[in-house]
Amino acid sequence: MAFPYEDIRTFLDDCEKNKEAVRVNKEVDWNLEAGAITRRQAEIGKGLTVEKGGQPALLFEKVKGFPKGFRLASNLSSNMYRMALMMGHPDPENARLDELQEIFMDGYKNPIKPMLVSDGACKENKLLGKDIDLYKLPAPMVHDGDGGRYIGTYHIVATKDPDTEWVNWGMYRVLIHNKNNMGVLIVPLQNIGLIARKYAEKNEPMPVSVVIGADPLSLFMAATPAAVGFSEADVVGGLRKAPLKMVKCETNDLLVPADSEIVIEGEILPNVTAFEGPFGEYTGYRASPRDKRPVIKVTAITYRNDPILTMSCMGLPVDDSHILASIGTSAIIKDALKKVGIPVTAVNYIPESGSQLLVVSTKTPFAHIATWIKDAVYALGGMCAYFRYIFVVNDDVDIFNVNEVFHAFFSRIHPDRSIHVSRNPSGPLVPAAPLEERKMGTAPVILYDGTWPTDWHPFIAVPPKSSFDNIFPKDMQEKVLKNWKEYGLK
Amino acid sequence: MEWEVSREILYGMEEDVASGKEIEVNLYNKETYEVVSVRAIMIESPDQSTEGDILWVRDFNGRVEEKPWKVKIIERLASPWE
Repeated sequence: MAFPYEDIRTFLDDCEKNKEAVRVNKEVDWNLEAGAITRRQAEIGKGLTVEKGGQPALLFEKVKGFPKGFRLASNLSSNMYRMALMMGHPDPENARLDELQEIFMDGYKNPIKPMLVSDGACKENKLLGKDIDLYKLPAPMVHDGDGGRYIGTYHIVATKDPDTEWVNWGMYRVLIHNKNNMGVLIVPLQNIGLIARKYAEKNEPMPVSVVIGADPLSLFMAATPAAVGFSEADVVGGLRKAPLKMVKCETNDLLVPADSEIVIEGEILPNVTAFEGPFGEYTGYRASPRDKRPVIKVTAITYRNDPILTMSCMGLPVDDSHILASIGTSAIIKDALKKVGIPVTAVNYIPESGSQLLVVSTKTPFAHIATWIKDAVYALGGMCAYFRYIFVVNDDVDIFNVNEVFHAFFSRIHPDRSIHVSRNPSGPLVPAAPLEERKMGTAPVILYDGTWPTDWHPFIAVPPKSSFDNIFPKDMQEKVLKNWKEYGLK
Repeated sequence: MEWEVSREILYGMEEDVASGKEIEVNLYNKETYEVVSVRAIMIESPDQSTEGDILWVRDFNGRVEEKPWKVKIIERLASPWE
């Protein structure tokens, strides 16, 4: 295993060696075909490893209408095996989400600042001034009906706070308007929204760099909500246990991973907007209506020889976006809850829910702890405030087992005491919300309190679980386990 | 050449569209999906004219309307962001 991967190419090579990636040599059309293949693959793969019937990552070697070498890659993290490879888990075949959360948190708590280098592979080709032409890159029309060709679906959007040294990375979707202008979805409550407001208040353009095909850990961190003021590049260093090599952009002062495939530099001008969207999203729907959103005026494009444009065709779970977002988000939330004294045992931003559901298991030393958890989660802002449903359960539920979560939901939710609706800021992607709520970002949040009431007697009122490990005496469990093979069972 | 337009771009211009007046509008080139600013005449019923290019209309959810329109482009305009 070549962890830490210096770039996306070494990651794909390693995936291929482990039969977790294939090169598609047949020519594919950027106009819907690459997206359709990627989508179908995610749906039949179901997040499983290839050995267990899942589907591999894809490298499309020939894209219609583009010179040899201009490639697309997709489904890079659409199963646990590849996600585990990305993060350096020692046993990718058997990696669990909670184990990946621990690996993540180790890197998060021990960040290493990046290393500035003078040059990088991302500078092998440069398009400046009149040569700028986004159509030189094989940006796909991902889904039919999208608002345009989305060049940024598995990427980094880097912006810098004008008042501090904080550089934020996020995976905010980006489409092409014309050869030198792009559109971007910025939601006010996300970190980029906070930074953009500062520039808007000063009536200044905001420098932006869109990085496509960075090394896998950098891409992972772009989808992870680091705290305000915390630079994702430092966490990448912590995860790699070594500084990330970064190089300065041509037309702004932002730093980008030196061996990225493509870097598009630009600026968001104040008060300039254009229709952006809709786009088939990770919620499993194309729910965000087209609306006027910021425009990125491109000032430079640099790219590697034979560049790989990484893409995601988001939709019904489970795909790369759901797994990618789950790990860091869950780990950060768990750490934050523990810091304020909540006796949380596990957190899972469940991929199977289309990234709509956060499940928290906790001890319950007092009443209304679920409400405290919900308030503490939404206080984190950013992506932590993006899911609409929080389900809190006692710590006897394995919240990484979706069957157990499903059962707990339908056995512990009481219509009168368990369901709490509140108004928190949201974004435009909520499928169940009416159009006005999506446009205004006002879709409500539901807390499902699945904890047993603390005034219930634990042996009289709380019903015992009818499970092998609970409803049978210990000596009977031991006897059955000891004689299992003798019964003729596997 | 075929084009696309999003329905909400035409909000507020319905009377001009219906009466065949020239309007300034952003269209999507159906081949490249480039946004192109034009001054054009929209024709809601394509049978009414043999001139013009096919124009597909999409709603804000991205669904394309069954019957295409036509568009007669009078002049290409500078990009709105130049």
